[in-house]
Amino acid sequence: VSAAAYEISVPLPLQDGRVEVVGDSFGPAGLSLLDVDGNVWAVDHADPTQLAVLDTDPDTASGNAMLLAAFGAVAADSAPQGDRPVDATGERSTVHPGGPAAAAAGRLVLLAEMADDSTAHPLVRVAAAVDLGRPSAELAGELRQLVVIDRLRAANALAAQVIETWRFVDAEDVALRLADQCEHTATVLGAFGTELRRLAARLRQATQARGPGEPLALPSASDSLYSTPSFTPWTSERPDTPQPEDFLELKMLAAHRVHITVSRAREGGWVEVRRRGRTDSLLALVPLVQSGLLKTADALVPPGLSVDDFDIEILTVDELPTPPDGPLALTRQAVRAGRSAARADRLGDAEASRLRWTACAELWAAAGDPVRSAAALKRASGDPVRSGEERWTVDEVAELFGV
Amino acid sequence: VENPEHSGDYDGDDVIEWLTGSEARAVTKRLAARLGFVGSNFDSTEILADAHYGVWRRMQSTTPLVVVNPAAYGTTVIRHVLFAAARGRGYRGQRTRPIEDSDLDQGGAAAGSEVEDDVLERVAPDVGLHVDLDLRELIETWPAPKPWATSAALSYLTLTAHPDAYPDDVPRPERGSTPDQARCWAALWFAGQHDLFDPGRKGAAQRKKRQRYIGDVLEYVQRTYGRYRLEGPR
Repeated sequence: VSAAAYEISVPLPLQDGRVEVVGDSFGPAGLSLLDVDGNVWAVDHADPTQLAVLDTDPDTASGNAMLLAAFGAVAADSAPQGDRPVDATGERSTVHPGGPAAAAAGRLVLLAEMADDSTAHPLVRVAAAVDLGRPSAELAGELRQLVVIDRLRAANALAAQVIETWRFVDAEDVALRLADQCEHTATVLGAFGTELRRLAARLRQATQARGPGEPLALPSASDSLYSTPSFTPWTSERPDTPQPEDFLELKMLAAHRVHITVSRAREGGWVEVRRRGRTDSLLALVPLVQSGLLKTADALVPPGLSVDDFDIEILTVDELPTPPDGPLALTRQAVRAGRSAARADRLGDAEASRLRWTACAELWAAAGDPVRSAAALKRASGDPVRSGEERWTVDEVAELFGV
Repeated sequence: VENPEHSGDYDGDDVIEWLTGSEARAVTKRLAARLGFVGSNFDSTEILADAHYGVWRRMQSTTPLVVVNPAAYGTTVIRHVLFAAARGRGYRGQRTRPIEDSDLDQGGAAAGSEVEDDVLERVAPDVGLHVDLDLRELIETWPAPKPWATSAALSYLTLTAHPDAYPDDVPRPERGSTPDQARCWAALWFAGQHDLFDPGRKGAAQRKKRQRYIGDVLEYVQRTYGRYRLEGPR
């Protein structure tokens, strides 16, 4: 049996039949999380030997496998003996990483998370899965089986999606390394690895093409409303009103509809329609469209109002209000910056590491967390921290996509 | 994380009700502290607004949300929101049913299959002056990332309070749609998204895009409404 990943200073805390061990708070790169059938194993992303949370049901196969990998056979066997209300105050148990097994567990959690990340490009996910498929002697076998095989099969399906998405490869070393890994994984998977084998062939073929440097693949950016990673800061400045020489006319087309005509507005103009008076309520925000020499817009409004009841403002696209960055949004941005910096660390890129940790520190400071900001700055001023000698192909592929 | 969905006597509304209470705030603070969210970068209202939205999204599933314990379910959702934030991600929950039915234009939806699942259904009788003003103020303070969605949400509110405001010359679904979806057609049209309804572009791609846009508008309205529920009348 492999060594346990962690040593814990108290008996495994059981409550309502579940084991929940809370380790260290996450660092400036946030945490990474593996969820198998509702059993959660979370580690610090930048230092994945550190346990953040382990929350399992020991009566399930995956929960028991997690306990076995995390705390060893004795702990896993003794866990389901009954409820012991430990840790009721929310105090953290003292948890220490147990050497190479903790590193192997961290590697498993990070790579599985990357392989599962539906927001990432399929090629990045494939690379994470084939990295995950490399043998690791330090980790308890049952958990590996539970985590790895499903993701390798998923990678095979993803491979089919990306095979035709590019023509040229301008990062031959990365592409060939990924091709090698895909082929190796396909061999392991046998009949389930045919798409990975095709992907490997496609990667090799693309490296032989010569053209005006198209990127490795095209990121599949979504234009969905909430996929925007960050927003420009909210501006409290009021937008310009039309100049006096501008012509502005309002006309009620129906009880609920006002027609706005302006003689001059900047490109991409929008009209803000407010209820004049005490409430100053925003009734509508509608785009102007060109109509001959004029621009017009139609807005739905509540009934019972006349043109004298409206205040109209013309806005450019740049003047449109954007969502303010709340603390949670800044936290997310800071974590993402930290993950990018951690990737630079893993790749041993000192310059990128310094720049990215500095940016991460600034974001944590903006989010109101001086402790994590200081931790990020400390990393920015030190040498890149490699989590191991192994270089992950997924990091190299992710760098190509700028994610 | 445990899954407290089982046969029981409670539904999503009970979970949302619990999320708006003081116990949910206390749970959020406790869980956040355990995970290491500290100081001014922690805002329980933001966390709970995401949780509220996640539950609503789950309620859109074809499988009814039935829970034994609203507090346990709400706690699980809060944990998911916190885990997502600690991974640099937003929390959207799961939506397993498309917002717009699959094929209005080609008779894919059965006539008379109208479903009363309006975003504002529960408050529709109250969408009088005060709620309407509060929601508009929230939209102004927390606009959508895309201006067309902000625009459509404002028109959506007008159409919710004044159903007879739907103009005759604006596209509307012929059948099989919910009132919410119908409102979104007009709202998106006034937001300038005319290509979503252009007969010359009729086809699967147009329907898919329209479906996505309607989903985005309804999600934004729901997030705004969730924030209103959490923050209370202004």
